[in-house]
Amino acid sequence: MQKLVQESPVCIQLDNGLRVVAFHVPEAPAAAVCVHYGVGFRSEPRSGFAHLFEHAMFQSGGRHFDAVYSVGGTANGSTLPDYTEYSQAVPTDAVRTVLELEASRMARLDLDQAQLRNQIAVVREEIRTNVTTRPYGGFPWTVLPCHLYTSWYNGHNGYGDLADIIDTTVEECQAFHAAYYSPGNAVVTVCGGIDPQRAVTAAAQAFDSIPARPVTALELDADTCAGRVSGVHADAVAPRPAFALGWPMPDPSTSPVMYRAMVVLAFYLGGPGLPLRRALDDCGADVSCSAGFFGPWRARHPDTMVVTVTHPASRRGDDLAAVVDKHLRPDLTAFRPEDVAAATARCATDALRPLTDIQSLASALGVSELLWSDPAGVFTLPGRIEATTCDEVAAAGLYLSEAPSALVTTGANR
Amino acid sequence: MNLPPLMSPPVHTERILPWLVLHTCPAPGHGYVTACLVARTRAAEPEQIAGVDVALQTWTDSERARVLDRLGCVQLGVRNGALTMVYSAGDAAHLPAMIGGCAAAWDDATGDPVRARAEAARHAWLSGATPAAASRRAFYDHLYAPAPPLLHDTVAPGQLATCSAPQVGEARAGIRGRGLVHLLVVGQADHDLVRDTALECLSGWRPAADPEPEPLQTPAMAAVTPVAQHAAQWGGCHIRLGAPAPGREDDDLTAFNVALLIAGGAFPSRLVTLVREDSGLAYRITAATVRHLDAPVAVIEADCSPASAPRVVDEIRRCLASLASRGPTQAEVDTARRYVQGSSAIALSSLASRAQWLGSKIALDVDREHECLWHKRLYSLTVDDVRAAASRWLDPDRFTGIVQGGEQR
Repeated sequence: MQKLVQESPVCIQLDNGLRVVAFHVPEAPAAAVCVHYGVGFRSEPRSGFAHLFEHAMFQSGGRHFDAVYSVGGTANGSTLPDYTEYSQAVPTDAVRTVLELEASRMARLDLDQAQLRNQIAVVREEIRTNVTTRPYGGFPWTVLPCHLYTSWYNGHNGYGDLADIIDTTVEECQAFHAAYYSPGNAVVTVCGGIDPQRAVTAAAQAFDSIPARPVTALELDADTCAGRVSGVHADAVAPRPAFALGWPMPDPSTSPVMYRAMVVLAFYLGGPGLPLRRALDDCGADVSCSAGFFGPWRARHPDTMVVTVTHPASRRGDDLAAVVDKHLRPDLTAFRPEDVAAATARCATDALRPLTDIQSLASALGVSELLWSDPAGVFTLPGRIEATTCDEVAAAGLYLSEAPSALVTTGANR
Repeated sequence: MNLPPLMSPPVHTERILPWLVLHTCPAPGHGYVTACLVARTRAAEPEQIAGVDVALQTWTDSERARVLDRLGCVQLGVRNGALTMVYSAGDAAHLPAMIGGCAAAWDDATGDPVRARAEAARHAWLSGATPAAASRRAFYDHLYAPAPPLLHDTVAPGQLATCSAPQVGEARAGIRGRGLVHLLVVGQADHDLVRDTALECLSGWRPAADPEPEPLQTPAMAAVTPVAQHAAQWGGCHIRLGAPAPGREDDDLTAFNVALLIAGGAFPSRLVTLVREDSGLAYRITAATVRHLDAPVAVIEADCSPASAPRVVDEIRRCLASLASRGPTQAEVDTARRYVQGSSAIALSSLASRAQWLGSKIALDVDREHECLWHKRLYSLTVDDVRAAASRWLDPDRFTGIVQGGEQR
């Protein structure tokens, strides 16, 4: 594969600790602006709080969506285990306006109880739409961690229960903002048709006056269960039975080669025409596989490798789980080099895709700086994936086959 | 008239074979290229649609698809119905394989048809198991009484599961045998080089029949009737209200599009403000024009609790009535215009969205004259124009719809 990117992102750190990343996409008439804060639902005081807080941030200082829309742009937010992302895409001449909007809500949370009460109702409807009334909604990321991990912060449901957030106060939100939404716990990324030096200067002008605040960090442990733990999740609208298997992945910081091989393994296990998918196809079952609940390199250690299978009621889930287990073990199912090569190519292509889209690229650069202090790694990742060998992928399979795991079944009541 | 530069990416168009038109468009990026083949399937009967679905699924499992995988290319998406678009995307060095791969999609019969049939049926079953999907089916049957099959995304799983080999073969031949085929290449690729590559890859891939497109047939709508409510087992509701919208030759089109945007077409619209941000009744509420050949429908959708559904329907009707009677403010029109301009800049800044944008224009025969006229109208639009269009098209009494989910009331 040819080297696609010749330039490096420009990175600076302001005196208040804020990191700024800028990358130029020639001729793009728009730019993406992302702010990533190093706090997600693993750091929240109770279930669903970080996600509710993300909603509250859009109310700060008037309505953020209205302001971005009025300059011809779009905005969105998402809350993951270890970070919260605020993203905008705007015509390039509106970058400065968006940076000022972001700086304003980083400096101060301007929120009243009526706005907060309304966002609690919106979150209730979001959970109803995306989880409780949708077949397999939130499955397995909202229900599997509590079986695989023993600590609350690794195991709880990050989407949350309404009962846990319904009484949230503005004061609690202010405390959360003070603890986690400081410049030193954030990365600002600008990516698109704007000169990176100009972008960095604009970011510095917008954010420089925000005083430094202490950074609150969470110490995470891989506190996993022992052996295989099973659980059942009720889903009244799932049209057929399903199960999810989850395993803790190795630490990408200390075991980068094994982690990378596991990312390829996910494509090997879920890839069309490859051994596990063919074996499950023959049973009328669908399989999907993901290294990390939200994709690879998108959470600190521990993250979870997950295989999800939906199957006919005539097939026993335990039997199909045994088929998955068998395909992890090189001594029981050979890892053929041509199959691994197909999975590697698909995985490398997947890593290339963010490079073609300013919003995906801004997100990837920001996350890579926030979690791994390596924004340029986004560009070298496809090449590193291509270097993965068949033996390394087989070793990743063996690693999982010996690791603790959780099996959660659902949809069996229909 | 000159188009604003943000909305007018340079496209080099050339008919390189009697049946094949090549379009190349440079795009921002770093060597990544998207190739897209656009053809009209003309599939109008359930059997034909089933044949196309299974043919596509067979391709996913085919040797050619695996070759593309190994090269690092990927199929991005396919749209069925009146048109089909097949994408490949990857490293520019793999352009010949990508162009050949797009075409081979229709010809490759190496995939396992039994597996393909089963998989297509499973996907149809799973994707239909939500209030939104059920509401879409019920809505179009209600609006068109019943809907022509091509308006449905796909057909019943049972029809897919029993789709015969001749049906699949006929679908393949039909796709490549009807009308012009367009090849769109977006990214950093030289037009002459792409032309040579396309001729080399596609010269032998000849259409079996006439080279001119058949005229599009506009589906007929049923008379507008009051909102109907359908009970189902879900704990949530999907509301879908719709009314006929102006066709692309209608003088009202631009003003109507802006009116619909102000009503609910972008995030801080009147409906989002009323239903979500001010009252927390729904997480998602949108308004958009859905085009079915030239029978466009303005569709407003919302997800909410069964208990809130009557109030959400009332809020939608009130919002439409207000826009239809009093019109928008000057500030709303100015903001909507900026949003349209900004959206095109954002779409054109990314490879896949630029390919989709251009592919849709090709498929819908939106030529430069149409585009210029549309822009001229957008920039000269007044508050009165939008009010008049809203009054003609967004009167709530024109709307019919479905509330899918919750208990029967």
